[in-house]
Amino acid sequence: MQIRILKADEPSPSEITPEAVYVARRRLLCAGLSVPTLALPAGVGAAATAVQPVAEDSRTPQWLRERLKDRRLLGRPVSEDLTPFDAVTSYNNFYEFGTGKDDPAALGGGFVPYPWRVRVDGDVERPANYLLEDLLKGIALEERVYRLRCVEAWSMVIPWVGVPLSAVLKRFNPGSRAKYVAFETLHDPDRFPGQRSNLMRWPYVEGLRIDEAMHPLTLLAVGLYGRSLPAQNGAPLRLVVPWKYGFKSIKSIVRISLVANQPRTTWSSMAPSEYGFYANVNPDVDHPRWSQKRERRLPNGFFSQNWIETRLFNGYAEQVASMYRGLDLRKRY
Amino acid sequence: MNASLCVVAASGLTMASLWLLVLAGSAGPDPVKYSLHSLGVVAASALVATLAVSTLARITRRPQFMIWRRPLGLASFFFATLHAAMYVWYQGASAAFIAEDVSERPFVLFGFIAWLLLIPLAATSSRSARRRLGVNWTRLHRTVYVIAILAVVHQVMANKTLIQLPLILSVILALLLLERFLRNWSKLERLFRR
Repeated sequence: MQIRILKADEPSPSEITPEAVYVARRRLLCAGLSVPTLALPAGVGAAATAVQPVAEDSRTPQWLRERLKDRRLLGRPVSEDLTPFDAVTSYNNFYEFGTGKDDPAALGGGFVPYPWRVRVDGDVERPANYLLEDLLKGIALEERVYRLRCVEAWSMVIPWVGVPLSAVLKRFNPGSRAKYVAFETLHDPDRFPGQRSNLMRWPYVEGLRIDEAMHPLTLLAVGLYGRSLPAQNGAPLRLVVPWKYGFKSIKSIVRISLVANQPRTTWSSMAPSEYGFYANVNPDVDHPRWSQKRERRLPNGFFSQNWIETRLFNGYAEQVASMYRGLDLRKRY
Repeated sequence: MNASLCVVAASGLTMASLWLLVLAGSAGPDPVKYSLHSLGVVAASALVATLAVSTLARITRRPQFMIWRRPLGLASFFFATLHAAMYVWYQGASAAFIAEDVSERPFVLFGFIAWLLLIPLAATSSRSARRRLGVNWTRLHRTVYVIAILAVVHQVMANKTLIQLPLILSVILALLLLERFLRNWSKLERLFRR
């Protein structure tokens, strides 16, 4: 029997084997070895099954409920515990609702993001405004468990539901001038009270290099914990780039542009010495005001703060490091 | 009304409510960071309130307000000390990380200096110390202006953007400093003319 020892960064088989396949395998095993003493003890293999979905919001449209139900279950990293739904949805940086960590949850209740339109433009075929359901049509939703590392040195482990950004972009056949992808958050001070202050320049803008955007780990999420995204987590459509600091994962996206020049992204233009365009998670490049060598895995307790060491590219180095060969990560932070 | 008793009671209530929030889980998924920030906010607010006492007494011509100054100043020192202790706890009491923070990051250094400078003021807050030190007491306690500026700058720098509370405290502090500057302007003018 071959025993494979997984390297730290390697996805476990349960992360990449579709549920239908491993369920079929198990059925085969059980059928062949239906001796009671050999039955799997309860709980074994549980790590590979989907997370228990959390109750859906009553205002979520039927099409999205059905899409979420049909999500492909890609399992989860075996070693790390999920951050509970309550923590994921009560501790958010989303200045569109307010600067306090609890503002987005407190003020997001009335935000109903359907119907939602996304403008896809720049060097693409058929630039237009698309309904969210049309943008996602025909692309299977996947459940993916990623670490989320905030630039403020805390982190969570979140089961997202979404589609690879590459699958969406490929539909529009980006041209050769598309070197970057720029994203914009909805600008609507009536629905985003935080936008009534001129704390920052609205709308929030983020961007990726085209190879980063096309990377298989880059996700356009529409849900978490098996349900649609709550307002505070960037409903109804957000980016998730797990090897970059959280602020790159822009929320409530209304525009995706394929452009020739590096976009002027919000944080990197507000405080260029603190937040770079790349914003790759890197324990060796400190934020000017705090260390990035370690992080607090949330939720934590008053007497157990869960400091853990931060890993280069948030532990996804094996998958993404090759994109940055020859790039001075100290200068291009 | 006993000012000291009131401030002690208010401080006790503040600590009790903070601890209850932590126990109830209402302090969010990172209770130590929440406590750290809350204690800092209380310390800085109490310090600015301390400086507001004499201005208020002058403007309203009610010198009896002055009884609030010492208890408020001591409360500020008390919460600044809890804030510093919480910071040590936050860093997992790791000497290496604390040393790195204080030496490499100006806003942490500013906060640390502000707390250090508060110690002699708290230590000489008693009536007997005041009598003993005479005119030197006044000179020593003028460092409170440096401390307040350091504390407010520390608080503004600790945030990613100019958010409301630190901004409000900065504006109040600026007004309090302006009032003192204007009040002493004639004295200063005479000094320069000489």
